[in-house]
Amino acid sequence: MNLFNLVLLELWHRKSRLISGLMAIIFGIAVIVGIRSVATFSEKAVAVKLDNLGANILVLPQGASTDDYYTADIDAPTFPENYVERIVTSDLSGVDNLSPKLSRRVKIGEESFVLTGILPANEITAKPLWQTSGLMGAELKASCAPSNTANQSLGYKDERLQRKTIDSLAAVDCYVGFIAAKKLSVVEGGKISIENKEFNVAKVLPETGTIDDGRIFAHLHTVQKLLGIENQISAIEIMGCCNAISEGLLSKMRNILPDTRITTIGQIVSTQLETNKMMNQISLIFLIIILLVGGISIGNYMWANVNERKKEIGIYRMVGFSQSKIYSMLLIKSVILGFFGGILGYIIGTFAGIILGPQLAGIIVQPIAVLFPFSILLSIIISVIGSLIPAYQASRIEPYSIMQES
Amino acid sequence: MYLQVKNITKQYHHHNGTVINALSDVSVTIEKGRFVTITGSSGSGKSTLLFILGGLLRPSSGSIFFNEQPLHSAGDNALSAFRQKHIGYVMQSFSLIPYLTAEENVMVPLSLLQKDKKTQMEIARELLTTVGLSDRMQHYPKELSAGQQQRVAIARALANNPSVILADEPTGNLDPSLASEILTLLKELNTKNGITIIMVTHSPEAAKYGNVKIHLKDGCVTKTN
Ligand SMILES: Nc1ncnc2c1ncn2[C@@H]1O[C@H](COP(=O)(O)OP(=O)(O)OP(=O)(O)O)[C@@H](O)[C@H]1O
Ligand SMILES: [Mg+2]
Repeated sequence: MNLFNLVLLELWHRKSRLISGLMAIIFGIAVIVGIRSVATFSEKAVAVKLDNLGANILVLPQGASTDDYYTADIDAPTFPENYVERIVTSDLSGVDNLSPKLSRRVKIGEESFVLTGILPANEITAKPLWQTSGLMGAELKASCAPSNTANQSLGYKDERLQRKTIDSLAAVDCYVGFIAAKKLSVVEGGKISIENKEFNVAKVLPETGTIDDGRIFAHLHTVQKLLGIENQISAIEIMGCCNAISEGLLSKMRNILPDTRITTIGQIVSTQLETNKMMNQISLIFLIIILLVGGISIGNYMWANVNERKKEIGIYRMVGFSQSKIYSMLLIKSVILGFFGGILGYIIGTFAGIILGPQLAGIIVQPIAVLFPFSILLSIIISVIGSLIPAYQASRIEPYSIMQES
Repeated sequence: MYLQVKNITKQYHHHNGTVINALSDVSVTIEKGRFVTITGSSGSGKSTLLFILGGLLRPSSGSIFFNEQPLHSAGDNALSAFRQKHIGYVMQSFSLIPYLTAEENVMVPLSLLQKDKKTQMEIARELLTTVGLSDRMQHYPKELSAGQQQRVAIARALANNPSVILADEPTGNLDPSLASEILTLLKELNTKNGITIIMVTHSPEAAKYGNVKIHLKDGCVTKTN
């Protein structure tokens, strides 16, 4: 028999009161775990949705404004095409779908249009997140790739596949935006002449409601040759994973591409970052409340327990237990309480998340393993802190006066 | 010289501000192997003296020595170790831990020693057999009679192989025939095992078992022989 056995026997003896003492801490841990579970999976769902919206990072030449990207003036600065290679061969994760573009304003007849050179095989898959990190923590991060089986299993549809309309483009072909086609009054199969070169209109693009409607698209290398600015591009559009962006993807890219301006398609990303921030703040507030309520309630339970056990503690002191032994016994007890509180809290919180997630947030929630040790640790810390004063009080019990009372 | 108190006083500070002089200038020397009885009227300071002798209570002034070692200046760890090594307590109300079986109650003092569970159990069983409870090892205190509970308490007091047993009215809650059984047991421990017994008692019957008698009156020793 040792201190630990004695503590367990005592806990077992008063097990009915144990539950009420643990209630607050179990409930508290459950709330945190529930919130974190739902938040994590909704962040993931939002991230997948945002990523599906398309490119959210723009690499522009140093000194270019975002306006240049839209207006494509004749003297707008450019940078080398091999920058794409730099990103691809770097060890950056969370970048996907790099599409280099060269845009210039051209005159066709009286009207001026933006001619944009693109690489048709724009699925230059550059080390997406799910390939570079496969361990437990990665599950918590939303994957950038909607085609990721994990995402699909969670019910996220691969919307991006529907956007991918351009997959091959011959050197003499061009695609004409919806409005541009109207202005030029061309149809599919027709011909247009740009800068003295004949292009086949391979397709008239459906209306998108964006600036793309007024543009004409041709193969990047054809456009480069035609305009006499070979191996240069005016922008790279990138789909960056939202989580990767919030973790500093941009500054990492700036290191690789020093003489460029890298921006995010701001609002999309900042909305996501806001949401993450808010969720984290809510969790933090709950954490503080739970620390207080859980700690106080455990402390209260311990206090009552110590008072009830005064005589018993006196007996331990009588047979030779020192003050520090009594103190240790109570702290061991608080660790055991915290341990079980953490386990129960995790289980209840996870179940609550799984049940309530689909109903409240419309997302599928799965157990998050890393929250398990976290719950136990947090619960133990709260329990120990709440028990410090009662344990001290217990160690000060005068064995003699207790003996007198009986 | 064995266990000695010199000029000790003990004041209790009551929370209403009054000071109670429980012991005033008490000096006693207790030789090894004696059976000492402490008598006196209620409130005369018997329990107070007993607890001071056992290192459970500190005197307000004066000194206490165990084999020349001063205890009045010892810290909590040293005093606890002293109780654990040398003292066994038997109280009037049986002071057993309710959620432990007879056997486990006897093992409590042993849990402070570096002994494995098996050894602890063997010692506990042997002691419970000595006090005549070989068939009640797994019983909880509430499943035992008053006399049996007191035997468990004696077995527990013996667990650490003490040189002194301090008993505060050990028979106070027992009927006369049970009382004499317990007193006989204590006497046996004194004569056969050479354990020093210091027993507080009200009853003149019980006091007859002693060979050294201390009588207290209003916190002062009035008689020793
Ligand atoms: N914790 C305490 N606080 C204040 N006064 C106390 C305390 N304990 C004992 N006293 C007082 O000290 C005096 C001596 O008490 P003590 O318990 O030593 O007497 P006793 O001889 O053992 O009495 P009894 O035979 O009734 O057990 C009594 O007057 C008692 O009221
Ligand atoms: Mg008394």
